[in-house]
Amino acid sequence: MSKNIMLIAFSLLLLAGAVAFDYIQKKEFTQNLQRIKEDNFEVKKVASLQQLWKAKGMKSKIQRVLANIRANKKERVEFKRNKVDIKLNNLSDKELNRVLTKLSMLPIQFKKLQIRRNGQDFILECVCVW
Amino acid sequence: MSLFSSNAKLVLLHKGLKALPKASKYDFVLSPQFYISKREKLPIKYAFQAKKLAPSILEDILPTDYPYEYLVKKEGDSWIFFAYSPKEIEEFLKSCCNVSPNKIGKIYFADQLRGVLKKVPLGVDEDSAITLIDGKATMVPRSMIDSKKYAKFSKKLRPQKGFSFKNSSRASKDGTLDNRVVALGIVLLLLAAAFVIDGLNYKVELKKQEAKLNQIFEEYPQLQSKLTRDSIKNKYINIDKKERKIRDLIDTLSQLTSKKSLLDKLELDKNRLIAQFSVDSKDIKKIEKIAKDANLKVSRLSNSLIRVEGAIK
Repeated sequence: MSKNIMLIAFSLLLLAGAVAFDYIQKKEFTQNLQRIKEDNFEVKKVASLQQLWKAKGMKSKIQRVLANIRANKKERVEFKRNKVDIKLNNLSDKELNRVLTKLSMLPIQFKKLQIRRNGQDFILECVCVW
Repeated sequence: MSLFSSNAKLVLLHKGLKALPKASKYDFVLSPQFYISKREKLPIKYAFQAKKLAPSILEDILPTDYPYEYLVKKEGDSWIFFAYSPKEIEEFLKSCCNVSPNKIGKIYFADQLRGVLKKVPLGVDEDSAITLIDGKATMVPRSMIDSKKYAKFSKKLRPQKGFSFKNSSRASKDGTLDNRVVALGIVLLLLAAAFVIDGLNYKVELKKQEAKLNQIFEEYPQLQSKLTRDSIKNKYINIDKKERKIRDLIDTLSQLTSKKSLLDKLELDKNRLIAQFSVDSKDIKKIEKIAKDANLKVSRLSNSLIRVEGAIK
């Protein structure tokens, strides 16, 4: 076989190898990039959900919500680890509205929620966890 | 020196040639021993048309021992047709001077030296010279020529138009590398290099993306496992959905309250948020409509009492 044919054959072989290498890398990149993007998105989503519903400092935030309610209206405000048991009596409609709105804005889970009207006033009972 | 001028050594090729000075490339002025020419007046405008006719015009005068290449040149009204055998030239150069075909650059024909030959014959060697006979360059013994002066062949005699020499085979068979093949090889190698670089870029980019993901995993090591992730995700997605729904329902129910519609009680059970309203009998239908529009289940308990239910799941 002449040197010329060998040179062309070698160059073509090298080119074929390079094309195959490029193709494999491109395919691997496309496949893995999809997986990486999915993992990335999932981890961030899970982390943000975890941060939202496992937020720290919730006790003080709830205490701040209840700070404007007079002490004689607070029949029960008991904190136990990540849980609070609240019973408020004789709340005006405005007070009820404010407490309920502010509690709703906190990332806490309502395990119990009960409101009863007593004349013009309201009784609010709730158990929240976080 | 012009970039476009030939650097090759110019040699007068004749059958008496014994050796060549050393050079990497040679251009040859072919003596009439190596080609046959014919002048014809033809009503043809273009060279490619003339070239097509060349074989039929020259076929009667060409020996059949070699395959021929044809070239044409226009001079005034006439066309000059040239035929030469690459194989014959290659074989001669190999035997006389050990010159391989890839060293042959341009070729010229002695007929292109007509300007010189009109004035004085061109000395080829001690015994022969090229002169014009009937307007054609012809190689004759010096004894047949009256002239005492002979032009000496030199690089100054290089004719204006040269022709590319067609190798008898595209790739030379003597084991040396053809320049065109080397050029093609280089192009293919460059192309291969481009593909490899492209592939490497993908590889590097993939590594970068993986490094970014690993950095995120380092921040949240407990989320590395897909199973753990799925379990945490399901837990919090359910909480998120439920709690958002509860808040939406509280918001909707609060819109039902007014001076004429008072909340009596509200209770959250596992799957529902249930509220009871005391409503002015005149407004009861209006409140019912608002609740129904908000996709709440409404039931009338009396003329002034309604119960509203919203599903959490």
